[in-house]
Amino acid sequence: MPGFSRLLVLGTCAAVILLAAPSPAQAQSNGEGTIYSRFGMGSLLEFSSSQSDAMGGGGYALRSLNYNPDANPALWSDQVFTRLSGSAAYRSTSVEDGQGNSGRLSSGNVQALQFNFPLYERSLGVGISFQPYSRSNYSATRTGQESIGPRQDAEARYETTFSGSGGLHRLRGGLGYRVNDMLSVGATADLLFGTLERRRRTTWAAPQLRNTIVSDGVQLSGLTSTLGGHLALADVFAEDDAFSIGASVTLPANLSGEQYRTLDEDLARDTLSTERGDVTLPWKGRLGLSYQPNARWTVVLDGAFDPWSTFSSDFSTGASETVPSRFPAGGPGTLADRWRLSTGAEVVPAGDDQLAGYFAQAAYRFGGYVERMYVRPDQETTLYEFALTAGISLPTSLSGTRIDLNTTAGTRGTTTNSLVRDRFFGVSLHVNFGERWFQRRKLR
Amino acid sequence: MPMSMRSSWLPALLVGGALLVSLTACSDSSDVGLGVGSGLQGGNPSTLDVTPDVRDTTVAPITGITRDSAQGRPPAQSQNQNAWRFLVGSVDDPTPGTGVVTTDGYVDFAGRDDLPEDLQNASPDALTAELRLTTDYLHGHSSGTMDVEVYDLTSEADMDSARATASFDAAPSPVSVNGAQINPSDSLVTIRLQESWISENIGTLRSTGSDFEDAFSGFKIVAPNSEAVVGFSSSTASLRLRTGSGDDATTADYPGLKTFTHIERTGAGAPPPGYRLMQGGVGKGLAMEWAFRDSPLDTLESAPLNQANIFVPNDTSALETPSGFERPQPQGYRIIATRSSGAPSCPVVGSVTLSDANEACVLPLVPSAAPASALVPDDVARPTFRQSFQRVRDDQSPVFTTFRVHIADRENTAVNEAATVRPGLPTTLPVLVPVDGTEPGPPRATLTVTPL
Repeated sequence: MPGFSRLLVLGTCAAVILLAAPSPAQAQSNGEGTIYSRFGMGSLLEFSSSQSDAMGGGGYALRSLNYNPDANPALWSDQVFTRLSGSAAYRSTSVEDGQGNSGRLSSGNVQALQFNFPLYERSLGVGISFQPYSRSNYSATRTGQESIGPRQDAEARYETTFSGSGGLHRLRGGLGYRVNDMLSVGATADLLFGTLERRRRTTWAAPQLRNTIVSDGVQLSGLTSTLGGHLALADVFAEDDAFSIGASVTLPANLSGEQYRTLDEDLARDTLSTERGDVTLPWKGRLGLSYQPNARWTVVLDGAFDPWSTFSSDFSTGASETVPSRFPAGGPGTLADRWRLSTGAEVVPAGDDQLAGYFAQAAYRFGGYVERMYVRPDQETTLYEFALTAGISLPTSLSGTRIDLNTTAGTRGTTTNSLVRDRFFGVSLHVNFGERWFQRRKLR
Repeated sequence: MPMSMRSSWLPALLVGGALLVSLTACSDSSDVGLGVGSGLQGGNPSTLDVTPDVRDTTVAPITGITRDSAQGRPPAQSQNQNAWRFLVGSVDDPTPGTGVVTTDGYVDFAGRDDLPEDLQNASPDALTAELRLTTDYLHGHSSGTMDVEVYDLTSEADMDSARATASFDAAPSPVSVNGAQINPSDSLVTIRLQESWISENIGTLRSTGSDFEDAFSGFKIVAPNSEAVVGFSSSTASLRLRTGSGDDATTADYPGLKTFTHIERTGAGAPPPGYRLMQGGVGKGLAMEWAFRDSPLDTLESAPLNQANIFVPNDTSALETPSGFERPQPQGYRIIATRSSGAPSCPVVGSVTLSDANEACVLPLVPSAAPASALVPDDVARPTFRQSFQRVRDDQSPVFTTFRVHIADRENTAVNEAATVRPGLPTTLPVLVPVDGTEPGPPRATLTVTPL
């Protein structure tokens, strides 16, 4: 394919994905819809690659020529193709409380946009990604009625809807370097930025009454860095097997920004007050194991730890009506150390057989995870999230390009102590477009 | 791989991905989760009444109009001239505080383009002249007749837009026949003029157009010792000249040109306990001021305002109405607000500029609320209060310092700029406004707010 045509195809792909990419403005209308995203920085969203996504969500040691996992930059060293990956997801969340009341939220969103290319094939690779870091998206409504008018002889019905929107985004760029056949290292610079907004909208059934929207938002931005390492071992438990250990550490991030409280929306938005402040996000540790006994099977086991109990914020606590309400909601006391354990497996029935049938060359993945959530709204009850994941990866006639379809189903929270339990189900579509690019072909 | 093969799945993927992303966030939002953690609180609207400081104010109303000059005026006054009236008589309303209100009517007539030949040629002895007046207002005792007297004005009177405290000089002797009486309950009354007046003014009566108007200054009509005030339509008032009788009679009407009512009050006492008195004609009204820096308004400076009304009730049940006593209800009110220095212009808060020099704005009212109340609708009261809150928050004075409420008797019209600036018709009606209590309650602003 001529270079221009290749660029055209990739450009078209990127443009379409970017149109729906998680830009700060657009992402605010998307999300997975859990009331727990009201706390902390919102729901934390982690996406490394579509492969790891279907295998429990870890994959910190999962090396593959068809993917460039984002969670561990050391894995970017082992690249052959220039790769553009885009992911879109749809998730439906139903929520119930201890009284048996239930509600449902569903939405679509872009999971990630990743671009990777090798500077030196299988030795030094570059990775750039843009994806949501956290997202706040919840909605709960209370209804009531109020006597209105000079004689207060008319009852007007109203709804007060509490909702959250926005989130932080992460723009990551970095390098992965393969030191030798066994050891790879990598490092990234991560820019975190975005706006988290909590809204309280009071709407009236009677059109003559003006609706009210009070928004408490915080705009944050800051830099951090992630360091990663990967150790690849062969013939460990059996001949021709492969065993890998991967780890990464993200340094604490100091985000600066402005907190605000506004009235109304759009052009009529009236800023009641603003306040500058800083928050410090905790460091993150990731450790993963990957084992490939043969060409058909891959098994992973991963763990993650984020000490969110060390989170700090110097924003004020909402002392008066015009001052924004406390950020994060409920204060830092609602945050707890987070850990996550995941495991998964992939099977490619054809193994290395390039002549096998189409579905034998497809990859079938499944996994699961358990997570102790980093939010603890009542400051007492520890919340957990459990989910099963699965996916299928379809090869295309274009070497290096795969189309993945993943699904997840799980539950989080509890209905005790006035809390709620979410049951969620999601599907996602991933396009992993890879071609040799920027590389001079050798004359034969 | 050929481009054509790739293009077969690539667009499908892109569309599929975009479809997933573009799935609109749909929600079956419920109250589930409201109590999670510290709970989702606030946002409950509440309605509160805020009473102003109220004091009496007196501004003599405009009671004069000139029909011709109204043609070039804004629609409000042009339309109003058809309903305009002038008053004659006096009334001692049983409502405490109203005193005895005495009114003197003034009317001037326009010249005719021509005069019928029979009238031109008739001798003054063969002519009769009478005022023909259509009654459209009665305040007082309706039984019995009223003695009326008509006097010549001694000079041209500038009645146009004259206020009720003005008066114009009249000749000392009446020109109406001795013992002229009218029945207030009649829809049309006539007052015959003396023959001597006809003889003295025959030249004027036979002149036409502006010659007549230059020579004739008009009449003053009084009703001494009357027990009612009668209103006459300005547009149908006429001076009729007649000769002959029966089927052979020839008549010519001189149409009304200007009218004016002088109104004065004597013996006014205190209104009933618990009430303030507004009284038409004498211009007695209320001046209201809200204290934005005192409770509860000082707590609402930043609170979102969902609805606002300004409400001035008329407690009609408090008015005593003896048998045989007529007292119509006023068909409207007028609220004129005075802008603070540097405050937004009148239209910014939905009101109408009355006078730039006086920083005066007229607030539109809900027509259907009259006569039970003067009600400023939400689309005027809300921006007024909202902007006032913002200004006070910025350490400025509120948009309006004072709201003056007066009776403005007029036809029920739609809320528009023309109707808003239209002055009320001359009247003598009283209105009792409670100063406390619950129903109908005192003058107040009713605000529905959603606390932050």
